[in-house]
Amino acid sequence: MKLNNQDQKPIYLQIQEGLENAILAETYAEETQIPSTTELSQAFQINPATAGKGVNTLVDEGFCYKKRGIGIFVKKGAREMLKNKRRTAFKETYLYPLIKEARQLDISEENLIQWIKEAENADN
Amino acid sequence: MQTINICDVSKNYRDVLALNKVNLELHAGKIYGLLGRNGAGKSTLLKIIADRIKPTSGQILYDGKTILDDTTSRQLYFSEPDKTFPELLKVKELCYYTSQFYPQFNLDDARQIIHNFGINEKKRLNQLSTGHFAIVRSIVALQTRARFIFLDEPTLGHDAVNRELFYSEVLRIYREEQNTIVLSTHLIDEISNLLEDVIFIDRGQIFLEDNLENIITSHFYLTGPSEKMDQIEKSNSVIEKKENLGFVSLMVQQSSEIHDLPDGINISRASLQDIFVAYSKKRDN
Repeated sequence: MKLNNQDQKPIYLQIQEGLENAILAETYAEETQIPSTTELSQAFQINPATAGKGVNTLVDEGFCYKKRGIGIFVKKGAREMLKNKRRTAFKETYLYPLIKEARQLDISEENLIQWIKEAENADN
Repeated sequence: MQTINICDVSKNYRDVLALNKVNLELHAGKIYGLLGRNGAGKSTLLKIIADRIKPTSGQILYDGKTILDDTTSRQLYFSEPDKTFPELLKVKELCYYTSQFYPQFNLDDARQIIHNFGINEKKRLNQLSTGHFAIVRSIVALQTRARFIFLDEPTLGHDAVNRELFYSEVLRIYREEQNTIVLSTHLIDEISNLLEDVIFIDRGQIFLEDNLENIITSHFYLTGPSEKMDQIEKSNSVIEKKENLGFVSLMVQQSSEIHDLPDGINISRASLQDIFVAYSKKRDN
């Protein structure tokens, strides 16, 4: 996980997304503890309130839960829930900008589909 | 001490109005950024809060009281760039004397940190470079662990490495004490990650004061071809307008996310520094 000051995204959102990615990658597996606000503040040199906001959003959205006096844990099923959340946002975040750019460059739909297939094959 | 209220404070230096009816409430347990250009009134405001100078009008309330008594003044520390210490004092003597007034001062901790910055504690204050003096006074200020610590231009003269060390020291003391630390500076983007609340000051007036995230998430740039931007300019609160080669870029203030933008209009975020500059320019006009 890495913060980027040049990225204009607010720091608390970067914290939230960084933790989400770590949960998706099972760096923090379900039912294990995620870093505390203090640890995040220390590691990234940010105000603890900012770190707290990032962590609390994960709790509010139901991906994590608080164990009183211990810390924040990843909920069982959180990974699947996160995947669903990201799938919902996928079109908006990735697909529409891709199509927009393709249209601007007169890249046809068939061409696009072919490229996606080629890229997937190359990746395997 | 839980709150400091600045009530209608003005300050004149002869015919110069340094502060103009400033109202502000500082709370316990937050890191504030007091941000403004040179000569904006940052130092004057801090000096008045710390009771170094008297306001021309208005008053400061410390937990509702107008007087800074002995107990309360031990809960407040003000560190300024001017050399106000006896210059023949040694670094370790400065630590010692300060610790006599501020009971939470941890001498061992302070000496260790000063050592970590590569500063010899046996040196006299007038033998230190500008950068090293700035580090010493800031470390001493933080180490008082006072409920309210005011640091005026704490990084003046620091090199990049020391600035980072200093920022982590601010956060460490804050984590340990949960006190209030007010950082006054014109290096806005550099300290923005440390802040919880932001106070923008310009020509003696506070023109924006809010939680950092509220400010960052409520200002955007909208950019597009001139003809498409007219409507947007009319229907939004515009802070700044830039025109360039047939394109218009607007900084708008909008508390909710902007949806349904017409095709060809880009939205991007503004940094704290961008926002500060935009407001300052708007006030210039």
